[in-house]
Amino acid sequence: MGGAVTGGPGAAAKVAARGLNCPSCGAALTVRAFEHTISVVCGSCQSVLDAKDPNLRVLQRFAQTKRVEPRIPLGTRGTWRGRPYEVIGFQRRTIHVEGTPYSWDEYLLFNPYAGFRYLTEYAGHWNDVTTVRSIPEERTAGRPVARLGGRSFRHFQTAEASTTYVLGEFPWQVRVGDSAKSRDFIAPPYILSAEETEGEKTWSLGEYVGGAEVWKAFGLPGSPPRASGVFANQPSPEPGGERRTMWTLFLTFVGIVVAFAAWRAVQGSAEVFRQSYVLGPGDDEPFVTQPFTLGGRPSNVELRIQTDVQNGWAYFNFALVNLASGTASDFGREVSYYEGVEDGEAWHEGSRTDDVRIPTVPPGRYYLRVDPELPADAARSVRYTLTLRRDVPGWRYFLVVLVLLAVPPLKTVGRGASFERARWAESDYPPAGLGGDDD
Amino acid sequence: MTRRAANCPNCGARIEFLWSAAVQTTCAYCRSVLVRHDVDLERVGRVGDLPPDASPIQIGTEGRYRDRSFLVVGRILYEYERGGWNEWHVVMSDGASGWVSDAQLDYAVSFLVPAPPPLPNVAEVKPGYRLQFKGATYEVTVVTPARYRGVEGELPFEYWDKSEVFFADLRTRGAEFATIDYSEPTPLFFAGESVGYDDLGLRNVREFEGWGAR
Amino acid sequence: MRHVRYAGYVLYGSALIGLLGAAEYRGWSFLRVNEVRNVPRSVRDNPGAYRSPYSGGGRYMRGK
Repeated sequence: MGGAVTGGPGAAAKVAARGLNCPSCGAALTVRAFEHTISVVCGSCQSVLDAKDPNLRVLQRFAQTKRVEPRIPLGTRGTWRGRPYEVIGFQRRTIHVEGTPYSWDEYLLFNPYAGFRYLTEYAGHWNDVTTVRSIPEERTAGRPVARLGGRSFRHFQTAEASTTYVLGEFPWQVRVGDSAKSRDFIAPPYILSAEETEGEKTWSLGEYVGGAEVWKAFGLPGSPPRASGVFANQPSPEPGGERRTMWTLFLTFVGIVVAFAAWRAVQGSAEVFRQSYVLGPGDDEPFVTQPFTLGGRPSNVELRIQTDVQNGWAYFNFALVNLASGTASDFGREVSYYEGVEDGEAWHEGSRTDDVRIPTVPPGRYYLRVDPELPADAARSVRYTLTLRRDVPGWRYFLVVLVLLAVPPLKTVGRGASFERARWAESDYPPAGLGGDDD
Repeated sequence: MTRRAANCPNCGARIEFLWSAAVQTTCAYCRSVLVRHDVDLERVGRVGDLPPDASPIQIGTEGRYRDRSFLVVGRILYEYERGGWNEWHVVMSDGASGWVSDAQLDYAVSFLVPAPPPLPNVAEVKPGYRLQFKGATYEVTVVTPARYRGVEGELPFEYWDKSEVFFADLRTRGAEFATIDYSEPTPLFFAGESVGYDDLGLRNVREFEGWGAR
Repeated sequence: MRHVRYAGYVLYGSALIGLLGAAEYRGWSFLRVNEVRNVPRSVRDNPGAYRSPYSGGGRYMRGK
């Protein structure tokens, strides 16, 4: 077998690739990871062989009968994280959740200097995985959490993962049927996984990557498989930091609006006219008020009509007439109020008071022309008071603006929340109403 | 820097020392294990053919760890149930002796700790055992019965012809790494940290067929 | 990309507040007002001479 002679003369000779033949079927074997390889699968007869044995002892004969084509063919080279890697091994792992099997694929990448790493794929979601040598701190009280490098990872799922398919070579022993207890903790875009066999625990850290990045790195033809559903550590389109910023912006806007409203309230609005009248039935003659002055800039004029209508209505036609220019703002208002008791319940409809704001009235001397009216069969008189105030804040508009300001941050929160529901639906902690098992 | 030189007492080949304080070395030609006594070299044994391995590090590799540069001058090769690993003996620019371990391309740098904390004995040590060292809590992750497969080059002590040795690896919450070597009557404690290949800035490394340099 | 969203919201909020400020400054309102021009001074002595687009609105709206 190949491999350079270490030390001695010619120590600078290159480490040579190994050429082997399968003892089971005679097919030529490719060994890509030099002396690191411990197990190698014969591509022809699918037997797992001991690469460290001079005779390539068969570890598992005909490990599998089906054939699976890895999405990244064995032997493909690509540039990943700044250096060349070759895909040397492929493994399919399967877990069972409520009787349903879920499988993901693992691609073992090799570089003779930097070593080994994985790319894993499930339903179009890819992860770049490396082994972690530090020991994460685990908190098991409540929902388990693992901490590593100052980051907290929340427990997502615990399952028994078995190897259901192998191809290529591995720097450790593999067999179809090998199984390990797998615990996943997430801190999107990262996933921290612990795999345990016979009391030995190995931690690995995965980072979510897009299929397009994998395809580009390895020069694969066509497009990567479309990602379906939300994966455990898939980054949210509405990450927490963005939600907070949106809310901060919202609160800033609210602060501005509230300050503006307070300023308007403090300014007050001047009362420029107030007069009370009595309107008798059949007494609806139009009249004009005494002139009054509207000062300041062109702003609104609020007209308040306070009446004592009782189970009836009164109608008023108003014209706010500018003495100098002869221009008038003309409009009509109705005031109606009805009440009664029906089936023991009191009801009422309408209002005795009406407020209306006349827009953009230039300053000047004005009078009000009033043309009141009562129903033809009105029995009683109606007392009413007309009050005019200059430059009254439109409070409804403030409210509408506050509501409209809340829409974008609420949309952000809503989208984020629905993404997180989809994420946790696949975990050991599905949100209420989404089914799944309750461990 | 002039290197000290001597002749192999067995085959006469010229031995040039990369490190002035080397205690033991091997002759590249006849594979004799030679121990230095001042000027003379004593042949104490022979090391068998080392199994082929694919570590990119070789004797003569240069690198950098933190604030010091180093030169690889020797190694000890072990084998265990999962495969093999190398303990490369490196000499730092200040003359100190250190170790770069390469286990399936997983690298760590460590140094012998002359005054270690109280260490468990071979019977006591098991995964989960904890000890405190320099403010960090170290936990035993794996206890490995290993077979010594051979030595090469210059070592800071006499080390040859061992059979089965026990090692305990310890890790912390951070990147720290330690190992307890039970091959001597008194356990030896080495402490350091896990490093990535790029962290060592290695030059003069081996080349691999089908792969460009580095 | 999120900076585009933040900028968009700031623009949106600023536009809303700007509109609110303009409405308060100019005294805007949704009241449907008809502008009647050249109301003669004589209306002050004879209010009945004024013809409004809304006169008799009560009878019209109540249909009695």
